[in-house]
Amino acid sequence: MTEPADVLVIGSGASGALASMVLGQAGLRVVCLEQGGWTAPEDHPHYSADWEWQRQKRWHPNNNIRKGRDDFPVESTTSNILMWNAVGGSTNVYTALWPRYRPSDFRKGVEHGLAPDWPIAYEDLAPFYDRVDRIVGVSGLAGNPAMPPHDGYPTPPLPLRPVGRNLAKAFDRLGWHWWPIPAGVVSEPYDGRPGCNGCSACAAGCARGSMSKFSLSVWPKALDAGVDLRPLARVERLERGKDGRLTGAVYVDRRTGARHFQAADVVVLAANGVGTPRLLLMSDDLANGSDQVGRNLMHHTLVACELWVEQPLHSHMGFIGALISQEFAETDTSRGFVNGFNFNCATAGHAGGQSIGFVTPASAPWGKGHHDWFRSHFGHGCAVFAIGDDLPQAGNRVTLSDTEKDADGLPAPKITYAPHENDSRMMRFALQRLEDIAQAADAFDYRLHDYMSSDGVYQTPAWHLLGTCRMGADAATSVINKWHQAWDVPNLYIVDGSALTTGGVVNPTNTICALALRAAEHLRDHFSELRGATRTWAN
Amino acid sequence: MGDAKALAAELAALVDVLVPGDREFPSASDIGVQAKLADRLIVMRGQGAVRGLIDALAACGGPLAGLNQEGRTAVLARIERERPDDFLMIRNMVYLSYYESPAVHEVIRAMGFTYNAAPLPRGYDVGKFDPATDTPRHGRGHFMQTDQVKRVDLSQLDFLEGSHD
Repeated sequence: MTEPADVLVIGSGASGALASMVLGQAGLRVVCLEQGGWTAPEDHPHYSADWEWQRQKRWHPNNNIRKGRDDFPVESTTSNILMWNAVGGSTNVYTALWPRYRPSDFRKGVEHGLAPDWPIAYEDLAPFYDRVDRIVGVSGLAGNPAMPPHDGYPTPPLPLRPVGRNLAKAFDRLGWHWWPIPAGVVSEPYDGRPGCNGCSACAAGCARGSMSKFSLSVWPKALDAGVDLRPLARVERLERGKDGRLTGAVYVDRRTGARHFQAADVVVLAANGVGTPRLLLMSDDLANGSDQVGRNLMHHTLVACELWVEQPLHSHMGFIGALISQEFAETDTSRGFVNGFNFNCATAGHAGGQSIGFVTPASAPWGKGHHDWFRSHFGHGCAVFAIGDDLPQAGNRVTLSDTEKDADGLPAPKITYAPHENDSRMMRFALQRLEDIAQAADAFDYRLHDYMSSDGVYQTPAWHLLGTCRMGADAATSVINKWHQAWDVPNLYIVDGSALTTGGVVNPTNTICALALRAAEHLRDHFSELRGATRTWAN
Repeated sequence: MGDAKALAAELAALVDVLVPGDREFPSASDIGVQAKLADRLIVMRGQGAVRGLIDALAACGGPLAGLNQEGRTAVLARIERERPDDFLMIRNMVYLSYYESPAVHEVIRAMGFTYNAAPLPRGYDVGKFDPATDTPRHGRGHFMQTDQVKRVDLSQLDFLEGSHD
């Protein structure tokens, strides 16, 4: 048995990194177990001409396709689960779009009752958004009238470029909101990291660390604080004592195959919205008195449009994100559904990516017309995604596979997900609005994408793994309280995307980070009391 | 022709049907795409994948080497129709291999684009955000404050009947 820890953090991605840093800087003995290894800057494919090919296999964000040594399989016919298992987690391959949730996102119970209210409000989280921006390193433009005012961003916005200016004109024509997109990317040197140099290979992460790859931005601070980070350590189960409290975790050292027990006073789960419920279910259905562990999985609604205009946009250059539009972010039931969505406007691919279809199946034809298509489309395209707030549903869930196992013999997670009729209506409406944008941009060609398979199954690229251990005001319908403390296990905290009550209308990493920072600081500030807690705090 | 040369000719013919040359762009076989295709097939589908592809071409009217351009196109069109997933994988391998080539990059540059062989280390000079010209002046956008959030009227959303609080 290894030396007991004050806090055991499981998972070293965005939320686990922040929690480890905060608790380590407070002088606590923190051990972090990570099933993957380090993804070094030079491991990224950016320095190679074949980087777009590498994205199809070794750098594919879908672990079922990548099948890397650190991955576990995911059984699903409905979701393309995307994640990266390594120090820094999926921040190794994300695109770091960094918008905040809006106040109404936390009040869907009041608004329509098809989803619960969060036990906290936007105002509770706002100071942590501000602090996360400074820890992580963010670029953006203050003053967005579609969002509550805040302190602004630590670095200026990334350049708008022809892609952004062209789409801004289209939004102006439509009379719709737009704003430069906030990004977890520094636009100038910040905190020892170089500003973005516009290489545009953001879809394979950021080898430079201009984008906040947490192994380069947050982990150095956590390690400086003395956190004991153990890569290649895959947790098999959490152990419970007779008093119902956790005693620690059993993990496999993947270098040797040896099993170890790590004792701790407090366990913080940060293994993402699939990995965390999987581990709880593998640990004799831990923390699941409400039967909500693994349920209410949200991915966001997603539909997309790729469009091409006559003038060159040089859209293979620069940060992948350009604009955000929050025109349809609030509920308006005259549209035929509740909840809202947001437009993320993006660049297009490099030559190879553009030719095979960058975000839609629109690709260069083979044979005689290939080069003419390329001449008219390459460098002239851009993409717009409509990402929306899908309703949490009990049947959308993570369970354990009966048939598939990982390399250590542990059951794979099984994902079941289908959009609610409300979500489907939202996506149909959003597709019509995407068509409006293409026309307002004077596109000579555009292609819509609804992510429906040939069998009629909605198969979203599922980066966002949310809601599977949600926080709530009522122990009967949620897994954790507003401080992320499990209702059933007082020394267990869940700080990853599974904690989110609803999904909001934007990319969630910023909100996951703000929540993790808030939870970690609460744990730090009350640690003497919480380390021996035998009851979970009431909200 | 021996097996080795026949195999080489068949792969070269295949990639050229997918990406022929024109007045500026080289053909796929001119820049060796067939070698990358073979390598990538093995990565994705294992050791027998190249032979499997040759057999598939034969089963759909090949081999290509004995056909004119029209005949070759018909073989590929049949594979695309009958084995769409396999065809898509091969097509994507050919396209991605093609656009990795320095010779193709030269053509892209001649089209008026700055284009790096690899994204890093150089990156692209895309300028800086210009507050004078790039700051939105439209004044559009709104949000609901926490205390402004009220119950919406769901009566028109008949599909939700009975499913809310």
